[in-house]
Amino acid sequence: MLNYLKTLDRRIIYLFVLVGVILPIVGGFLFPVQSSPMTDSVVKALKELEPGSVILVSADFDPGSQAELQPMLLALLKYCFENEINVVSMGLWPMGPTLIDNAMDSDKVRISKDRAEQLMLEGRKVYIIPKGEAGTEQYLEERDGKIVVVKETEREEVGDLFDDAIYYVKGIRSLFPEGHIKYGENYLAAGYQVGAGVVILDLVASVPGALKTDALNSKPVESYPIMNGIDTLKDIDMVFTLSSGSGGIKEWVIYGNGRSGVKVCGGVTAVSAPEFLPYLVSRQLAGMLAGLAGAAEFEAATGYEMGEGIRGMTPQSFAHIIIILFIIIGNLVFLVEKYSENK
Amino acid sequence: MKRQIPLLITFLSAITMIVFYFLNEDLTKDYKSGIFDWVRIIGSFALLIGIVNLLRVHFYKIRRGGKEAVYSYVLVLSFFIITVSGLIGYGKRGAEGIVGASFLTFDWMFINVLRPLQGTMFSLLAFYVASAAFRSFRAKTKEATFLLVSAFIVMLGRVPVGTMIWDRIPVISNWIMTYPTAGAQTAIMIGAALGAVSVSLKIIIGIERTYLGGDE
Amino acid sequence: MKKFSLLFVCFLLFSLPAVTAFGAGEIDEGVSGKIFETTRIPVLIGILLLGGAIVYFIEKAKKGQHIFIRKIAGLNAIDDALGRATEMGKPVLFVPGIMGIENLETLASVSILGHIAKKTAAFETDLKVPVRDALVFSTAQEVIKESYLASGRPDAFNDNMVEFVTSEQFGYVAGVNGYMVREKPAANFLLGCFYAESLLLAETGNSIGAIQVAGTANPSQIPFFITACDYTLIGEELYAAGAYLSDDAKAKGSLKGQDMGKAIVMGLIGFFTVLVIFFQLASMGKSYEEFQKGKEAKPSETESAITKVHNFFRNSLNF
Repeated sequence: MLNYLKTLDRRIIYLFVLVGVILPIVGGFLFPVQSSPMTDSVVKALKELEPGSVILVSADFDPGSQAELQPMLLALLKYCFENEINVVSMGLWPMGPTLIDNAMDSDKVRISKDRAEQLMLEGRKVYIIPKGEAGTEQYLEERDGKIVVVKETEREEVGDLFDDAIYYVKGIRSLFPEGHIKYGENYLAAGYQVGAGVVILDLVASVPGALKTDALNSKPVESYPIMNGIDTLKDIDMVFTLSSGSGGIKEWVIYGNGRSGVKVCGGVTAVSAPEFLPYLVSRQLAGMLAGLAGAAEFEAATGYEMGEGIRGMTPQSFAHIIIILFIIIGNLVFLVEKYSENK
Repeated sequence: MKRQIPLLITFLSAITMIVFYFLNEDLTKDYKSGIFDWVRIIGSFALLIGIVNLLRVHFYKIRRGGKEAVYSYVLVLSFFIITVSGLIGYGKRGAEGIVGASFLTFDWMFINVLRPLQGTMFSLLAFYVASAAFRSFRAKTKEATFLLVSAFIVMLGRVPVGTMIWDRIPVISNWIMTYPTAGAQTAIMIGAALGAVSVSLKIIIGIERTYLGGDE
Repeated sequence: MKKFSLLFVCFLLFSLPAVTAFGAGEIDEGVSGKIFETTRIPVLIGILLLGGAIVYFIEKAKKGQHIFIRKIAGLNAIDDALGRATEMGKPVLFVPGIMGIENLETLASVSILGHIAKKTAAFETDLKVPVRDALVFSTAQEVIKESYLASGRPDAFNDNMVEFVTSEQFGYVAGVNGYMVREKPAANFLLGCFYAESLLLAETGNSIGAIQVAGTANPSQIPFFITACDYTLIGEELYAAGAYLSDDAKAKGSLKGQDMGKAIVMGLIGFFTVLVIFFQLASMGKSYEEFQKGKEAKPSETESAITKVHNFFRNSLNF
């Protein structure tokens, strides 16, 4: 037995981790999430922004890190548009701006049954996954005061919304009434900017000079009302970077905050969070969200209870416990062996 | 001469940027902006070099044949499908966002192919961390025991289970992250930064020439 | 190159008086303030100190002075790793990180590649270098070619030694892991700048039983290499590797100069830590005095000096 545990096939460990992650997802139970000082600093920095402030959201990550960073992005965009903070989006990584586009218009944003009803009445498209069903996309419609579930060409009338179904909309834009998010007025997409640190240095000197044109219409950015009064990076109220590697938060801190003093907050993967702790401690970073736990805490703090982060905390808890148990088993084996040798 | 010219360009460019750093920002803004534009243009062309290189390597593998040639076919085909769809189908955006993501459009492939594939690769880390931790976290020495205990506390402190076990665990976890971890990370960063300064200085004055490809 | 070094040192030495002399000079009406950013003087002092130390020790090393470098286990293990690969008839895998040639870690890695290539040429061991960047691809090819030429084995070099896998991070990892699992190299060298893929590479290498030497200056990835690899170069040990392996006087001199710079930084950190503690104690004492006597106490001579120094450096470090 001892020898078996000592030479345990790593696939057994993988299997346990897999089961540990799947069980809570299938079981559907959630652990309550509490905030941490790191996340509190981000929320505090955001709460200091007044309506009409401009935040530069930089998506410096690719789909590899989406599991941890996309929930942060969704929660951030939701918070900004709810609190009338204007968003200028860009990316130092090629796929970052497309991920922001997905967050705005394609990503599934889960909502409660009440919110689903409210949005449906406002004319927004609300999707539904009834319990026990999956596969084809189904959405809700209101016809003559009755709620109809539309599935491809079939239409099924339902009396009332189901309690145990999953409701979602596509993209953060769908959470708001039509016309709430006006391109050029409270949202602007500047797209991918080549050059990483050089881009930031350019932004420090001149934001319109660095961004040049927007990604949608290829018009000069200064022609949009959102850019009124924005000349250099100092005029931006906050930079929020979601970063998973080189060409991201470190460059924003060193060049952005270092040269212009602009407030920088960041969201990073859990694996790289310790690397940026010195910047947080020295207050070069106003706040930092670390990994999926940071995303969950941020969602809880900003009132986004159905977020991916919060739902991901239970599987993560199970995974951590399984890893700890295996470490304990490994150490017990080691100690027993050592004791036998000494004997 | 083949080596002297790049070394001279390196030296002059570095000195120029160092001098600009110490001059008033208003005086150098326009010059710096021009230089940065050039850097960004050159960076864009470096992407192009990568693409050309990639295609060259895989066309060679296709010509050569063999059991791995099929993967080169897949790569080249995927490359052209995504490029063409990006040029044709990317434009389906409006002021109200992505209008349609039908089959084989850029958005469809990004959302349904690229994102799941890349996410899957990253998710392997979770399994690898588990096996690495099982294999290597042993309390062989006092220091290793400290590391082990800290690891347990931080792992529990970062998830809700830690609070459920004892509400002080997140507090201790946060202390470990803010003080010992941040201190150690800062020390490594300072050392690496000084190393980087030294290497940069050697590149500027021409001692380090690896980037030119081999020694003289 | 001696001329360039002298030019550079002269520029640095004369710029300090120039900055202070013209620091307050006025220019055209339309442009505000001074010519030179006097708030950046501490940065200039830092450059002078560090640069001066490096240049000084390079010159000393060139004159023949012996420079001691402590043993770095990872670098000493290179020969053992290569020997193992040769005996087993298996290839050697060298991964130079995932960043471009402009990254300093990649440069350090490529210089180590040159040394390893010389050895694989001599031992007739297969060498495989998968890369993620096009410019690293060209540089690595050139470096290996020249190493094989220097070893007298230009015939043993072939273009397929260096392979451009893809520029996509996880695609690159998948490619390298696939190679490891198929070809089972006996020695893996993971040297350069790594991010999330570090553990993926190191664990796969561990699972195939290869001897692994890793090195990166990225603090967040070092723990993964330490758990999964046999030897790890931490932080600037990677930058020191070139000097360590080459026995080049200039490289060793620069390493010594860098260490002097580190000693200066440590000294400054210690000095300012004491200063800050003293300043805070003095401020605390002042507040207590105020509370006790009910009137504002005048700052003492010492406190004013400390306050002035403290404020000067606090303001000037906000560059």
